[in-house]
Amino acid sequence: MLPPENGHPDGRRIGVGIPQNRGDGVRLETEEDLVRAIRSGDAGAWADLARRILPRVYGLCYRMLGRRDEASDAAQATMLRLVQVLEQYDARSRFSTWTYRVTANVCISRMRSAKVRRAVSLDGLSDAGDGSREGPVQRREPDPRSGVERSDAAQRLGRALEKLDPEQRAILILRDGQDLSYEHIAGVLGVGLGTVKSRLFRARAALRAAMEAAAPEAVERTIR
Amino acid sequence: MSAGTPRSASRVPDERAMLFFVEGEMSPHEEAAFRASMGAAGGVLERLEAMRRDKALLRASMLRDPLVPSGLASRVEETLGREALVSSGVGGAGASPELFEARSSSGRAWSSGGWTVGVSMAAGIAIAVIGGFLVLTRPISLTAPPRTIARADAPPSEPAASIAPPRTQQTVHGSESAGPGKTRLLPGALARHEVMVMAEQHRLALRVSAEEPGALIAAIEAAADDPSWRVLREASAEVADAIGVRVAADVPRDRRDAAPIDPSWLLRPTEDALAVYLAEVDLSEAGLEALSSGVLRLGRTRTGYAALADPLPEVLGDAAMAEARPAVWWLRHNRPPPRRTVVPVVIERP
Repeated sequence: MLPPENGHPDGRRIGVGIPQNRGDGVRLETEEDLVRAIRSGDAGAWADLARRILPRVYGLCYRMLGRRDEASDAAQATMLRLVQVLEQYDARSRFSTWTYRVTANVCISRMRSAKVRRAVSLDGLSDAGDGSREGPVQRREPDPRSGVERSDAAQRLGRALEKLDPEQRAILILRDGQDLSYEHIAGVLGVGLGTVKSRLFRARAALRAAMEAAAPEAVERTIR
Repeated sequence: MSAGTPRSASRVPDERAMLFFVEGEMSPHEEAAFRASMGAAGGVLERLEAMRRDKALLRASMLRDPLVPSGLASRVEETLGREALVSSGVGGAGASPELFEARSSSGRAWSSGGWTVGVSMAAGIAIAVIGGFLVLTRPISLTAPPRTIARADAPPSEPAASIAPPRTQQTVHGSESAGPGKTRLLPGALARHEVMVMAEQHRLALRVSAEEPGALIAAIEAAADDPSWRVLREASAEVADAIGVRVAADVPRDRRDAAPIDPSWLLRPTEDALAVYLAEVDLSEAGLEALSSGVLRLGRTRTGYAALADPLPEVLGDAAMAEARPAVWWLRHNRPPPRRTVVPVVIERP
């Protein structure tokens, strides 16, 4: 089994960003370290790496696909894909960038093939169905709206997101959901910085247009 | 931010400047200049401000990281395990193994000896990949061909034509008469079609990882009297060494030594083993499948076919190969015997 959240069954504690001592004197501080360990034949490193990246993979899948079952399936497929193509990781970019790239590709492919158009999860404004979340939720910027207005706006936003192309949805989620820099997004999408900025702006414009199309009256009120 | 800032109030600024505004990445001075420049671009500024609000709303809505559903980690483990090879007997000795086709790209359903095939979603995922071999969904058919597990270091007997090794272009590590040579197990699980190819070349091995290896070994040895299995004894250290593994001096036989199986174990090379047997099986998909499933049914194990770097006969010698001749089949059938091959069964630590 993959180790539990608080570490390995054998007592090794694993924490994202926390230097680890694997108990055999080898200190694994980064995901890149774990990849190197895997390549050198350290079987235990697989479980460590999987436990580390699964939340990230699932998070992106959930935000892009909007449903837990679809996100779980996509996350599972992504993890499998990561195993298959691990040898292709050349360490020129961060491993996290690489995992985002693989995850995004899996999700976009699924969205194209399955026409996933269901509600995009906006779990900060409404119950995403994932139950309680431990730990503090850090607000990145104040939201002056009341809860009711936020909820209404979130629903419209969700509907608008559904109407975007998978690539546009992906870039918005990478930026706003995963909080990635332009450079990081460029690495994930495999495009240049200028392309990222152009695509991001157009995605925001498309989102606005979708918002207006979905609820023109409400949009009118917000503009005034 | 200065690049892309509008130079004229009569012009709509470029995308980059508008993006920086929407993203809130302008300094107050830059933003003031930007707003001033937008005075004549009727409605654009309002639209950009609405986009900025959309961004704030979207970010606020995604502050919480969704929790990974309970059970997903174990599902991933299973998937990785299947990817890594392929067969899982987690249900224990009494459970019916599951069958799925681990590679669907060929588009053909697995069917052998009247068995039906169930293609699970996990299989569909695993399929796309390196493709494992098979996981059986049903117990071995009573009509399945007999198989024996023979000791690898048994005294030589007359060669059996049915297992005469084909001469290949593979690197030969030992001469025909010079006794055992050396080879090694290659890491990674074989795809279904590769399993047959390797079997044809006598370069196939079955890797087995058991949660309770002591119990599995006991089960294998106790299976000697089973009509479907004939186990003589464990292989010698020399034979194990010939295929590149060291056999541990002690095998954990206490349940307290039980450990979960690393789902990626087949992806790594193996050098240490708890035991090595030689199994003789029909040179067919059904025979190889029966061997794998038969071992699976003996305990909480995972099995996977792997490749040897060199043909086994060139390592062990033809005489040693001939020792694993069919013991039961000859007594039951009038038809010519099926082609057979010898497959080392390597029991590894979990």
